[in-house]
Amino acid sequence: MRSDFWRNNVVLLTALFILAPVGLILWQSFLTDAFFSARARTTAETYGFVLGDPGFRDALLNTVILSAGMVLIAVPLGSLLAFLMVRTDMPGRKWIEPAIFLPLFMSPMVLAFGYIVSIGPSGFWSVWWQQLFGGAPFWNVYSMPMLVLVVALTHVPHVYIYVSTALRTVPSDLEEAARVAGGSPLTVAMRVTLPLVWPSIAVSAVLVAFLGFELFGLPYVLGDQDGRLVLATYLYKFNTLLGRPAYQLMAVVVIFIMLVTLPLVMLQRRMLRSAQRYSTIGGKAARAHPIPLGPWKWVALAGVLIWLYAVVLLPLSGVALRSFVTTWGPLVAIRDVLTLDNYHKLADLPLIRRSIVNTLILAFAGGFASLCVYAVIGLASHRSKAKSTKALDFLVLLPRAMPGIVAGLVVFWIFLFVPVLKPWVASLVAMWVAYTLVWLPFGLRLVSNSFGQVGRELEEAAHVAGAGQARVARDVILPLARHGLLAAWLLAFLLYAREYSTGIFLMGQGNEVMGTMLVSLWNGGNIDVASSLAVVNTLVIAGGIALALRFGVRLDA
Amino acid sequence: MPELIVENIHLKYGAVEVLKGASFAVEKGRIAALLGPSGSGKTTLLRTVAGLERAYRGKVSVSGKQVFDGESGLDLPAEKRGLGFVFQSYALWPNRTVFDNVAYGLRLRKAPEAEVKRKVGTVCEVLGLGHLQERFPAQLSGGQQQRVAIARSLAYDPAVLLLDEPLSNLDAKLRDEARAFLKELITREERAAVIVTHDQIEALAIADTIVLLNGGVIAQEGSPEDLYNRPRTLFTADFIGNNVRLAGKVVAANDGFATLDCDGIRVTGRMGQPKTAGEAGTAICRMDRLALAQPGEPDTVEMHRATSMFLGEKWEHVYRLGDHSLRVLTEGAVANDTSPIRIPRESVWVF
Repeated sequence: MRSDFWRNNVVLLTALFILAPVGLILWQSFLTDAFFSARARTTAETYGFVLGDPGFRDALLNTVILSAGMVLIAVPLGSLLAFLMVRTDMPGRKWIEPAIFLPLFMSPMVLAFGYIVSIGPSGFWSVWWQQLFGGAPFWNVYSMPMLVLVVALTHVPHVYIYVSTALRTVPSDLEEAARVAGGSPLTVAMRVTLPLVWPSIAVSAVLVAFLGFELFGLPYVLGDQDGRLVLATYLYKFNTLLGRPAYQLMAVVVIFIMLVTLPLVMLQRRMLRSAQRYSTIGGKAARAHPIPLGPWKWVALAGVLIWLYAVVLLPLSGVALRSFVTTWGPLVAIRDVLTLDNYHKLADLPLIRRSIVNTLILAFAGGFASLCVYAVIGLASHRSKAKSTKALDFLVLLPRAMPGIVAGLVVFWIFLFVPVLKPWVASLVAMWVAYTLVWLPFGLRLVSNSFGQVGRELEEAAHVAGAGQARVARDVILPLARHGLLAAWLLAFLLYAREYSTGIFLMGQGNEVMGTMLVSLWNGGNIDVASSLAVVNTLVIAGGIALALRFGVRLDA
Repeated sequence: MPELIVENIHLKYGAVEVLKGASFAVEKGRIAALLGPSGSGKTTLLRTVAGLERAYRGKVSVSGKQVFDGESGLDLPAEKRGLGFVFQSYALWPNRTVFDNVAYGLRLRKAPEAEVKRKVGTVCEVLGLGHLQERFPAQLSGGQQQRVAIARSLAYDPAVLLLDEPLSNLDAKLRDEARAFLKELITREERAAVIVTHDQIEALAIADTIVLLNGGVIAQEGSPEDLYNRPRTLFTADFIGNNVRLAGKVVAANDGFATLDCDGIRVTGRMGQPKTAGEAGTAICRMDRLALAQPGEPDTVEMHRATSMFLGEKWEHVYRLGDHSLRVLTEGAVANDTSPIRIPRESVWVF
């Protein structure tokens, strides 16, 4: 309890881990050239240049539109879905529940491919539509409205998680009291239930708005045709646009992105706290009595199934199908083009093979290593009232506000900047460091939650019996928190296997991972191999999810 | 020299002063009870002694060795104080068997495994847990869990045993047995024990010394008889025992006794502090000493019976006069609607 020394050291190291990248970006944004260049001088002109660039303004506008569209579509749909799942007698709720989480863990790159090969200009559905009705389909997968729709529908689960959790804490006797007093189910839902979960809906709206600024994969693939950029893809284009990376421009763009995301993250944190206070009114988890929907339950089920089809089945079936054919177009019969070649190529191409192996290593061993890092930080702040650990609470907001692609970029720069680290710049180690940084806030929360569930007196009993801090951690906290830690490891595995944007700038010879491989295969137009790799990526993640469900891990952590 | 000496402990939670100079000492083989209403700081004081809370002033010494001294900044962490602590929740580690729970302190002290086996065996035998050593805490009853918690805190032979409301999670019948058992055990094992409780009956029964806390300071310290029969403050008089409290005006005071007029009821009692006629005063009357009397007896008040209840062993009657109501216990039923009630002056204290 007393030895604050090691605590402070851990907090200090964590702060360095978080602040060094942010500091480097800030510094770089005021330089005329790359930070390692001898010609670099300080200037503030880069800010003016970026602000004056019409491309930046377009990207910003697109991002804002996407973000707003996501909020306007995903929040009502997600809340409705949560209400249907938690509060009504809609059929099939039990098996729909895990399916809702699928879009959360599927790689956006896979989804994006899926939409291209399913409903793109020469996609399966487009071709079938043409054969059935003649004439081109009414949709254009590369259009802005389509992009808004796709990103919004794929973010419905994020809203669902927050709202369904809140709904579960509302005791149904509150609703029943209103029903007895004469309210119809609809009135009760609007007047009693909705006001109680408003705070959670608001939190999820801020989250979704924030995620809108992080978007990379979907707008990258679906906006590619028309050269439509969002902030993250605008940042990525800078890497190649000018022939060589324009460090100062990228740094400024990163600053602009974080100027938006950081306030959103802080707002979300504040709202979450007050929302939690709000939700404690329903302390006891009373047995919920579902509201009967009557015949409407079939309408509700149909709506949910259509949504699931649109965000899971449509893209996945497209990718799966595409991975088994050599080519596809209007005059092709499936029978003639069936092949397993795309899968053979996965094994034959050393690059691809390596990316699969690397992903598994990174997700399994790297995930565990990250968990250990989070556990050490978590132990340092566990039951500590020290100022340093409180500061940590705020510090982790910074990586939270960093989109994966940004974190990858800054870790890349740090590895370039620090001489000792430089040889490792294109290695899995750098990749792991970036992943660990990106998922630090989330991992730390999981770990702290499971530590927090260990009874205080259980720890004190060991202290009094003669155990120092390290022994208490080893003998009491870690053994009793092991289920939570195992769950955190599984989640880390899922997230690391799915991760694609973090590695974009870090990818070099030898440290390819599936996610970034998908991005570069798309860049190279190699849709055959991309499809089979996407299928493998999805299978790995599906395996992880199955394992998680088997162990009873909550996926909505 | 006492095994445990606690001097002038001051402790704050933020800006709130929780302990404002608490002191007490416990000899070997003796039990001190920290008694007080909730919020009086008794558990905090115990945790401070154990090193689980940090005081900003004061001294604690265990077996003649300083473990805390606010002045010099000496503050040994809990693990270095070598005390035994029984938590209110028992705090048994659910992932360890009874044996491993009890053995933990010995293993931390790197005792050889044979020694661990022997000692744990002995302690478990003493506490009647011999046959339960391979069980997990969740497989035990509340009483058994409590004994495991005690065994765990005794196993490594601490000179001082601290117990935080150890009996409060037991049901009433078990509590009476455990109380006697605990008292016998501590005396036999020759530990100095401090027990925190909010239950005065428990404190009176088990303790050699009672330390009565009120608002972070010690209201009175002494033997149970002392506190019960010679309360020095209104708080002590009122807190100990089952009392009726009457406020009024002093009409006469001499020979150590004062008579109070409380809206029609006249009561006479020992003065807890010097009083003169005309002053305001409060009388604390031990309820169990109230009795029905014959007309003409001293220290009586004529009152009207409002209701009667049969309690099994006894009858309880509520007597009223004006706004006052007194509860009187009798052996049998009562026929009269009015009766003189005797409030014996030996069982009344005036402050």
